[in-house]
Amino acid sequence: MLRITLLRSAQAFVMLWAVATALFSLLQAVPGGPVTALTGDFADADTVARIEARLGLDQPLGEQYRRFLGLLASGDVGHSYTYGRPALQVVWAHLPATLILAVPAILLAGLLGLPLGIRAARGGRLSALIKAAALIAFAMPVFWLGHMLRLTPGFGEVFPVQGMADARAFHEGVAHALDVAHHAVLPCLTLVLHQMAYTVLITQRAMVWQMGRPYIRTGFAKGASRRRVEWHHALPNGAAPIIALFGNRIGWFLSGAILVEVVFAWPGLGQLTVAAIQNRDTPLVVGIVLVGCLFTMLGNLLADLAQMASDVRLRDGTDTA
Amino acid sequence: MRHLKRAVRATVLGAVASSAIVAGALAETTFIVAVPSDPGQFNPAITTGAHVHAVADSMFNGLVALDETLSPIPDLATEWTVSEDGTTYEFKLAEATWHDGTPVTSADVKFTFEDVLFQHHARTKSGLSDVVTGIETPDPRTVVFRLSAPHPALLRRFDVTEAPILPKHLYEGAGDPTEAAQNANPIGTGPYRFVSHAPGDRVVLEKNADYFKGDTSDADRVVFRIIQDAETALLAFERGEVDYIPRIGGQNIGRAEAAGQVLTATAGPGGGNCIMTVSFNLERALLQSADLRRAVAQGIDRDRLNEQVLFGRGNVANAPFSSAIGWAHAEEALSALTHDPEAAMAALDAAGLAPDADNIRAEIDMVHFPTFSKYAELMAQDLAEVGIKLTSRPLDRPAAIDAIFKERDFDTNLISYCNGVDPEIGIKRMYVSDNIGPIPFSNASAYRNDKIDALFAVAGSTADQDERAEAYGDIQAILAADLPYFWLVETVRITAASDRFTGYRPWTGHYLETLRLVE
Amino acid sequence: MSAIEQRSIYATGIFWRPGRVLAVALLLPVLVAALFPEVSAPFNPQGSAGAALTPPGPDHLLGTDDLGRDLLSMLVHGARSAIVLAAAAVVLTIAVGGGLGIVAGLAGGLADAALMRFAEFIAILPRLLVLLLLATLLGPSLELAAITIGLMSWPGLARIVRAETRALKHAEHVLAARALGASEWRIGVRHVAPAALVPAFSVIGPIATAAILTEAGLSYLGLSDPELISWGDLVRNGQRFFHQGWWLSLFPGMAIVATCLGLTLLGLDETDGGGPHAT
Repeated sequence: MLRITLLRSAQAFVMLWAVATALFSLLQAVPGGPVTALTGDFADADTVARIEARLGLDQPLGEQYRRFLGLLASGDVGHSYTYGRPALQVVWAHLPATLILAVPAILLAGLLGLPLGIRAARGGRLSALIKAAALIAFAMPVFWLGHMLRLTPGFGEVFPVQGMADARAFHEGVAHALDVAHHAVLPCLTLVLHQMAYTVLITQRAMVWQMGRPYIRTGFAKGASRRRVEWHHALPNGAAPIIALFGNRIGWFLSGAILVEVVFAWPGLGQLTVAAIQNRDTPLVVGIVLVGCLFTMLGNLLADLAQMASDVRLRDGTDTA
Repeated sequence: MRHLKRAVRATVLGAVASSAIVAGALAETTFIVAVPSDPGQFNPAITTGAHVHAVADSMFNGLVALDETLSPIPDLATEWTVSEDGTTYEFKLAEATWHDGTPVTSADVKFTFEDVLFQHHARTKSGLSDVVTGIETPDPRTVVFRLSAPHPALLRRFDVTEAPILPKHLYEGAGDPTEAAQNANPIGTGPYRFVSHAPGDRVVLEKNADYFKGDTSDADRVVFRIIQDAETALLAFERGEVDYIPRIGGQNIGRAEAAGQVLTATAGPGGGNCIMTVSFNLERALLQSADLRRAVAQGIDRDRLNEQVLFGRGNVANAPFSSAIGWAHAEEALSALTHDPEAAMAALDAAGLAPDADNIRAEIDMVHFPTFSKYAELMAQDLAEVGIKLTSRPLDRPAAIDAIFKERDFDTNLISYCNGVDPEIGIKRMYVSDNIGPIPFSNASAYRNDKIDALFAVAGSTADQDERAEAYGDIQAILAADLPYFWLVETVRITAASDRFTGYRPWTGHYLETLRLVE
Repeated sequence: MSAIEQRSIYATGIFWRPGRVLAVALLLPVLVAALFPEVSAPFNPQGSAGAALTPPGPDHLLGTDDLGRDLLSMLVHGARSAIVLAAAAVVLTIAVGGGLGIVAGLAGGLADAALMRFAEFIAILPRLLVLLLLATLLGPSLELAAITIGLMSWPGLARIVRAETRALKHAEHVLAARALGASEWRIGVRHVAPAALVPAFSVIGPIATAAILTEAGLSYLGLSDPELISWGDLVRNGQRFFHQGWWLSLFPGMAIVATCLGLTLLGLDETDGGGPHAT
């Protein structure tokens, strides 16, 4: 397992370089530069030239790429044009806000989605109901779901419709934590519903498959209760796709929950991403994507390790692809 | 017994009232503004970006301020005199201090203009750096500006948005002012001082207790919340989570009025008196046809644009210059160009553009910001009826600027050209031939007319308003005949504001300077 | 994503058969609308058909929008965009994912390793962000969205198909074909591909759903195709006019949900009796 971990880390560096290079090329090709966002309208040619020189954008492309690689090698992506600060610093500053939404959403989706998915695998009216609800929630555009939630009578009045903390009162300590939790309810619920629907569907399918296999009959024959068979026999055997799902989604939550953050004006990476693209803030875009990819790879790695731990066949390391 | 009851009631009421007063005095009044994007930095002198000015202007002052009619009133300068020939302006400064306690002197003014504004503030640089030949500081309270020729628009270009004054003692010797660390932690003279900035989330300011104009505002704290989604901002306004949205869409006036009040102004920080304008790319053969341009003009139903996009809050433009600059505006210059599909088709016939099998006579594209899609959709509907296929090309801001002014890859485009408070500031740039080039929001059509160049030169260098108005009248008559552009509707800035306060000044960068709680 | 892309399963529960009926019931009108928009739409969707913001009623079954356009007609025309988008994304995913999966599985060795690393590279790219950048670069268009979604969705399928191929390599009929002197190419096409591509059926629903939802997300950020009507753009516009016309975001939203629901049910219902693979 150590060998695999090391191999994966080495691969991760190559992946990050490839992603960074792909982004660098893509951003070079995007029309319009960062200068207008910095100077405002009417900037004349020599103002533009001066700013481009300051940002190093007047250099030949090869030279720009060489500098970019040099920075990358030292674990940096340069200064954000908008903020005039190291872009990674800006990304890290936005990360906690995103994690405040993502971590509870992932945990809740798992805690609620697994039992519901298992229940939905049993068949009958209740199963059909759970499945139908999950299918509908899964088929909803997430920004629409979020907007509808806060327009639902009762929700919008009780919970704040935007932001991460009350801008009128400046709470500290526990009061601040409670205030943030209060603000997080609606965006988090949106993410939970979306992710939970996914979890329910995956779990249900895995369970139906496992419960039809011969070893389950053996379990029942030995007199185990249905619940015990489901949780102790079928679930561990059918866990692989569920684990993979969560591993995969970590990256989605970091850079892909963009829409939910924009809907709720949540000050995390999502809003930052949209603004960074609009301002052509190349270092910031690269920083956001690299951090997002890093977390995706970490999530996949954790998922692989978890699967290996749960599956004897894979522990031999014969097939890890 | 009755007396006793009354006495008890009075005592109780009194106690309640006094505790309410105490509570009121203790609770800080916070005013929350929703802004669509993070300013990033807070130095208003190095950029004309509206997202910076919307936040930073409240922390700084100009030499003059503008009243509701956009006439200059005192700001950092308490009084000023202009020489007979209009080439020397002398300003007396107020007894003001920077937020760090250092007194404001004439040296700050000289430094700001020479080292920052004339180098980095795009509008002030292009408009004034050649006009101002010298800045003198005979004493710490006096500044003298010497001009090469009279510049009638000068005072209107000295407000906090066009010419904010920076502290020399913090910027001098600190290197390139666009990179100064000070920009993230601004020290100004304005009614509010900087407290904190959480990127992507909020900027917090507090009232400047030592403001040189005294206690002008009841807001102890101002919070700018960054809310990208306009619908979210409006919802927050309705729920009382936000007190002020600088710009809302016309369809939401009813909702904003129900939750607070609606303010309208034709001007605003960063540019006012804006006209939605179609530019024709005169470097392309098809658009060089005056008949085609006329057909486009007469094919568009501008009344419908005003009704359906602006919900009746704007005006159909009846001259190339904004009606808000009343003395220069040539009333009815465009009255011949009414919506007339028959005339439009006749003009297309005259241009030799006959309908093909699909009834299409000409195909043109239109580059615009995504926010103007509604205009483009309506114009495409109108023009389809006369046989012109208009293809909409929405591009985000940097890409649109690149396509229009650098690559010149467009047939037509739609830009909100802000005329500003004087034709010198926001109008001349669209028409004079030496302003054709890769400068954002310059002469997008690439229009060249020697007569126009000469008339602008005359109007820009005389102090006499009647003489100027005459030149501008001639200019507008020529423009209406040449149609290098077509002027659709004059827009207004619609602001949603809480009705717990009064004293808003939505036409200026100092829109929060005089907030008062409603009793 | 990956697990839904797994082979689907045969379920004996009662939900599945009504599910198939429901899927057809939901998708049929969409398909009809997409194939014959001119016939099924009562008005020209681009032109003004009546007063702005008319509520649903006899003249306009689903009401009109802020520019007086008939919402039903716009939905009908939007169906074509949705179907084209979904179909293109699915075809690309199956072509690229299936093709590369079989090649990697058959070839093994260095080519296999390289292809799988490439798949990982594509898989970790944040899809919405790449779409945002490309839409900014090339201008927003439906083709671009369809191609990008297709070209970014294949790694999951490629992995499954590769595993399937590797298992099939040693299957009796393949060994028999090889013994009879069939070329590797022939073996790949005739004997491996048909079986190895069975899992591809299960990605139809999820990929099509993802394509429609992703396009809706792009529209929400203002990057929808200006030349076509898309449901995502209708939802976004409707959201801005929610308080003047609730119908404007409700019906397009329902169209998206119904279609995605139908596609998901279809995908779940496609049965081959296999079980989920541990990948």
